[in-house]
Amino acid sequence: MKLSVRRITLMGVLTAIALTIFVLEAQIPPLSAIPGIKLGLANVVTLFALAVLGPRDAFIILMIRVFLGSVFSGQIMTLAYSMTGGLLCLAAESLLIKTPLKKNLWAVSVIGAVIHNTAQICVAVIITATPGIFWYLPYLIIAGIITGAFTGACVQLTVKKGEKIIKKLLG
Amino acid sequence: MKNRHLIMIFALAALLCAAVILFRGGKAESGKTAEIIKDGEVVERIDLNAVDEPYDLKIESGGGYNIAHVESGAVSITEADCPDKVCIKQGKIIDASYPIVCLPHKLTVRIVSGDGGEIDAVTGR
Repeated sequence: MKLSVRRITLMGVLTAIALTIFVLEAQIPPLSAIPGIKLGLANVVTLFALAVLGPRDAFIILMIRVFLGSVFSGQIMTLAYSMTGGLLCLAAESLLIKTPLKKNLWAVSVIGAVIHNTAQICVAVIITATPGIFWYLPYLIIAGIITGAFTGACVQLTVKKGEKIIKKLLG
Repeated sequence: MKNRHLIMIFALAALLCAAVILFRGGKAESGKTAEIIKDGEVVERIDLNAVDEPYDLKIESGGGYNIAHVESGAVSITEADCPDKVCIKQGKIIDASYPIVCLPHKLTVRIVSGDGGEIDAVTGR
């Protein structure tokens, strides 16, 4: 897997899309009183990149998006959360996509989202030194299942339509 | 794997979580005590049943401040100089189901039922 010019360009475009979605989503008022619950639409791009381009490229896109995302939103604090959550989520998804679950991308996304939320709770507990925050976990797991299924379905549809075009583009 | 099976597994997991939430929410609550926790240490303990007139409480922490609005049976953060204001958006909390958290200031406000003194060895609450 050499980094061809086309591949780099494609990754740049995907990163830009992810970042745009991320910044736009941050403008939507929170869906609930519990912090941390959001659709996570930017993960559509990460999972799409994972499915079509592979783990390395998905990792690069995720890193740049998370870093620039927290620069643009002006909150360094979110960096620790997004990094840990995003990385563990991607790691789990990279493993799952090698199993027969590859056919059910939405399920990969659900598990990824739940792991993402769980990781963020762990970081929050460590930063605030308050184990009581763990009581958010059931709420966040439910939220992860719902949002994960939604974003996962988006990815599944996008991959179905776009995989061939991108494979052709990369030669 | 069939989609059907996966949906069943996830629905079951969600149900399990809902059960945990309901089980915790359904507990009889005799007293209500608000605890303000800074850096993992309880700095303030307020008996919410004893509050007649609502009042504001300023909490200084880590180069910033939060203003907690204390009223009978509920607490909320009404003002803070943190960048994200997540704690304000969380609104009022009235029971122990989840705490208000201000991450930039490492501040947590939670409500514990009963005297709030004892800590469960298993759950750490």
